[in-house]
Amino acid sequence: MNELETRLRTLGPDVDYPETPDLLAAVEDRLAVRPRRRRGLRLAVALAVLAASLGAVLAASPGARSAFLELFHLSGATIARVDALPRAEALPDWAPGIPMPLADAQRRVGFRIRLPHTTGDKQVRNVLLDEQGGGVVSVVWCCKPTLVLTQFAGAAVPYLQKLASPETAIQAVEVDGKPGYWIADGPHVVLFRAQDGSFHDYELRVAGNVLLWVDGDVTLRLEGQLTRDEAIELASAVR
Amino acid sequence: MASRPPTDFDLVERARHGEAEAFALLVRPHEDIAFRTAYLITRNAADAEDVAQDALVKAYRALGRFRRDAPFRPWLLAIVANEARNRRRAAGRREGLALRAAGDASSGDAAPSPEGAAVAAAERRQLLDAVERLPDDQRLAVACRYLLELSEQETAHVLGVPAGTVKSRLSRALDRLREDL
Repeated sequence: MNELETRLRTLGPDVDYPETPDLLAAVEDRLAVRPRRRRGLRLAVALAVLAASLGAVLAASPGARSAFLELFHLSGATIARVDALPRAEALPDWAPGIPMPLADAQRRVGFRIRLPHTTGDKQVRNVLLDEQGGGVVSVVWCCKPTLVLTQFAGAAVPYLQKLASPETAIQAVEVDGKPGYWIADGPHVVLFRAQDGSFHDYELRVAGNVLLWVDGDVTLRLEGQLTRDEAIELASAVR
Repeated sequence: MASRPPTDFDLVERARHGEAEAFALLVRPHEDIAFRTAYLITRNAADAEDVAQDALVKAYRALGRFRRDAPFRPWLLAIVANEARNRRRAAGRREGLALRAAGDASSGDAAPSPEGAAVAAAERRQLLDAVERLPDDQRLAVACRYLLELSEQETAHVLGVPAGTVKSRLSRALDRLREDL
């Protein structure tokens, strides 16, 4: 490096730049998880929404049986058993929403966030809020197996749509006297409703097991590599 | 057994899966240089702040396109510079670069005499003024390579030109500065 280059380089630290603002804090609200659009899922989404609207009538129709085998409703969630799942990536640690502290999420939703008394030695790794409707909160516990507890205030139209494969077991259960479903032993795809009311393909192929239940006006979903009894025990501790 | 520190790609993957802390760990070390890059191109503090914020959001949304073997800093700075160039085309007033007051200066090992300090400050001011008089493409190459101390490859990323072009711009800029001084 010649003398002029050395002089230029030593000039750098003395340039009087404006003070750097806290850029991350300023964009926190804009850093939402982006939905991925997938052509192959559109038909399944359209059919699922149609099935949710027409309910048992469509499920009972011989023409629809090739696509929809059974429908289950639970407050803000609908589970549709279909003969073939749409293609979706397995993203076991994924949950929708903007990351934020739990206290901030609590201030921004219209219901009390339920949490378990204990998750053993697991630590809360992330809290995500999707501010549609009354708000959808996902709490993620670290580490393997990761646990995700998603909750939202029940709505007249389902927020959460699940598509389950024929080999997936869907079993009605009770969680501390509250109604629920245990979904296990097969992959299923989760779709989340977007702000405009359409189902966004926030698709997620879930290999783990899922417990869905309702507590008052809130629908809860616990996902993780748990047995049915473990899930119900943990869910019973969610208050 | 000590675990290895996460690579940029590890953090990108964690951020893609919704882990806010991972994105903060990726970006926080580069906030200063991202803002200063934006400022050196736009020459306006408010524009630079808007540009740097927009660039962070774009980077977050583009994490899926980040290459496993690539370093994060030049990738982020290229997004910042692109945003800044777009903003600058529409921008009006440009602020000139200034040097910090002598008392704040970070360079200089021994305390110089008052006369010596005055001469050194005048020479530094003269050098910065000469940089400011360079044509835009040369001035930006000098700013990135020497004032921000980016590598030649990073400078090429930021300016969106091949490394050979950076070399030739720097060479012409240095010739011009020698003549000017």
